Amino acid sequence: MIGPVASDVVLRASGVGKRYSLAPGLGSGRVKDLLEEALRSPLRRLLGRTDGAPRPAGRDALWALRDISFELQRGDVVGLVGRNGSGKSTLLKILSRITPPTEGWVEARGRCGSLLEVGTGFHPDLSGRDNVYLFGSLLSMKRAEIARKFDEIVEFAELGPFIDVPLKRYSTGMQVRLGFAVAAHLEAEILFADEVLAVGDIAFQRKCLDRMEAVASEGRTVIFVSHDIAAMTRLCKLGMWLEAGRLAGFGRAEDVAASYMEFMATGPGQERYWPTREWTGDARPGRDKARLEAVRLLDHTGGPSAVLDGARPLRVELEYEVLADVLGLSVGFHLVRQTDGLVVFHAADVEDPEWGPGPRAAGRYLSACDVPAKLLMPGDYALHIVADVPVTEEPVFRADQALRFKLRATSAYGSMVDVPLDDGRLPPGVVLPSLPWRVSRRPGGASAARPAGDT
Amino acid sequence: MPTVPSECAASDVVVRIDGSATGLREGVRDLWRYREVLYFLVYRDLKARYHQTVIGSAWVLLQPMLSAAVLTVVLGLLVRVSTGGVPYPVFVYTALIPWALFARGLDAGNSLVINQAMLNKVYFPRAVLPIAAVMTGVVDVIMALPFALLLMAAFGFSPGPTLLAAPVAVLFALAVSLSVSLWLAALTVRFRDFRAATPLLGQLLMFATPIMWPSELVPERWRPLLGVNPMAGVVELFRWTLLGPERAPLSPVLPISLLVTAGVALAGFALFRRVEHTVADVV
Repeated sequence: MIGPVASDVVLRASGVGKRYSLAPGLGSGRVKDLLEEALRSPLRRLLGRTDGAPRPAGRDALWALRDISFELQRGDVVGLVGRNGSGKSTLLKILSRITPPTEGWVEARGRCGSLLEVGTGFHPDLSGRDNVYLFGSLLSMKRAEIARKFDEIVEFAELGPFIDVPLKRYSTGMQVRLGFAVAAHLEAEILFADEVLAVGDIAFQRKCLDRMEAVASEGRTVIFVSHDIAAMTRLCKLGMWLEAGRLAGFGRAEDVAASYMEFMATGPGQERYWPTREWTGDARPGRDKARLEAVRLLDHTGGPSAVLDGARPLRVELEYEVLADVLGLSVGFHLVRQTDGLVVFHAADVEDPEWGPGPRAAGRYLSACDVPAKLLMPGDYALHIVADVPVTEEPVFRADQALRFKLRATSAYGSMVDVPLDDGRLPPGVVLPSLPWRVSRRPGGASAARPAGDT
Repeated sequence: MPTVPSECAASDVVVRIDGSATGLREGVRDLWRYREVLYFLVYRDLKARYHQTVIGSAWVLLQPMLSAAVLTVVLGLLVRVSTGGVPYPVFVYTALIPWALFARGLDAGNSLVINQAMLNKVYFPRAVLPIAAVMTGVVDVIMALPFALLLMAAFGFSPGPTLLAAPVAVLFALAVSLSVSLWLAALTVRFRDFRAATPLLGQLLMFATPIMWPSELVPERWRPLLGVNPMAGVVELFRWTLLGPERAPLSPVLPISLLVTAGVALAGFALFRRVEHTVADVV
């Protein structure tokens, strides 16, 4: 009944699409529509094609997914990324058989488990113990299997003596821990997980991540959705990126993460880089203490530029107006790497020997900061402008993504950056400082082996 | 080849997911595979139902008993309905037992809507929900039967050999309740009107079923029509089972009820399977 599946392919999707109807049907629209619809074809609606042959897709239909085809081998661990509404959840719902695809098909070999939301089916009046069995059975675990792992589950959830207490006496954190603990002990060949890492406190999230890592290394096939790109690239060999219901990228996790982050940083219809930004009047960030008026990025020639040579120095200029005398003010910026949002460093004008953190009278100011050459890795960066009063830590103004710029890798970087420079292959690390190295010959060693006359 | 997947045999199961409804055989196999979900849902409902009540599961007995008491006062003592020599409380209680199960079947029409959070999060054969809701009613019946015998003993009645047919009677009541629950569950998912209409339907059906009145009241030529209501057959069978061979089911009622039940069951199952796989989109 089912075609041959190549030896190690455990999950295969072919042309999967899902259309949702937006037509005013039952449950929405006017009463007249509703009655008409209900009277005209109740039986056809019930017995017939709500999902069969695709009808002509007009304005009343929305394709949440289209043309999704991929194959996963046994042991593949895939991170699924995409913006809200890009179809991630729909894809997981189709894979875990909650909703049928409108077109195309999926073949899964082996037991599939989905951790779409931990704690589904929990009943507040039942004890933690009963709920473990109930939830476990919903995840298609056998009673004997749950019994065998019961102690492990309770220990993982850190519930110990509370396991026979009704669930409604649990804190939210306890419920969530119990849910994840059960799900984490499911022995499925193929696992689908949606945002499960976003549960519990930091320590428990750490534990969940470790568990996912262990699962991933056991040779099971896992697809999981995460907004934590760093965690995704660490856990997953493969990445899958959905954009507007289509497969926008599928391949090495690092590559997919990079193109996804780049896409997210620029966004549709937005400029990728800009070197200056100005505000006037009430649009100026800040309130009664001080307001930011302009941000500029200048290259080594002193002109504004958003695409710069990383091997040359650059200057950041901040213009602001202090509206009332303050005892101290720190105006500065976070320099943020766009690929993953990492703050590379923070710099502020309290470093100025003359003004420093001292008092500032009302008036207009310019703070300028020189960033030395060959400090930053080539790549995309943004500036978040932040100002506060250092003594009270009171925020004064803030402007996220005030500027975006690109540092090009040029041959002026020297041998650390290989040529060709634009293929994205860079040495590891956050910064790429040019440090003073010295190499010298020491006496001794195998100098005798050198061919004579080589000097 | 209905393979029973054991814990580790599942790895060669190949599941194909597409837009079509699952086949009949695949559907039944799936239900069997998920039988433990059914077990735990029944367990959950039973355990949670009378949680934080003082008399707990005694309510299972008390509810039909109080209904029987009220009906006895009104119809037995005031209206003096003739029941062919059977004391009215016994007469009405023996019919209320299967009716309680049927009422669960009507209630089970809501089971998909009530559990929609679950339907949206995890896969399992959707029929598990209405089936579980009805199965809790079976437990009620099994608890109520010994009590019916006590009540009969109090009125000087002892059950005859027909009592051996009790499992058959329970099965028949179960079949009727299950089919109705599948119908209503499938319909309620799409048309919430049934949430409001079902209690009314239940009330009407209760009057149309020979629970408070003996079926002999119906003129002979209309009796086939009485059988069209499957619960009429169920009640007749229950009375025969509990009260003895002299209360044989009225002649054409039982076979007609059985026939109607078979039709309703098959159609209900087919309808449910059509709707089942799209439930998460519609509910």
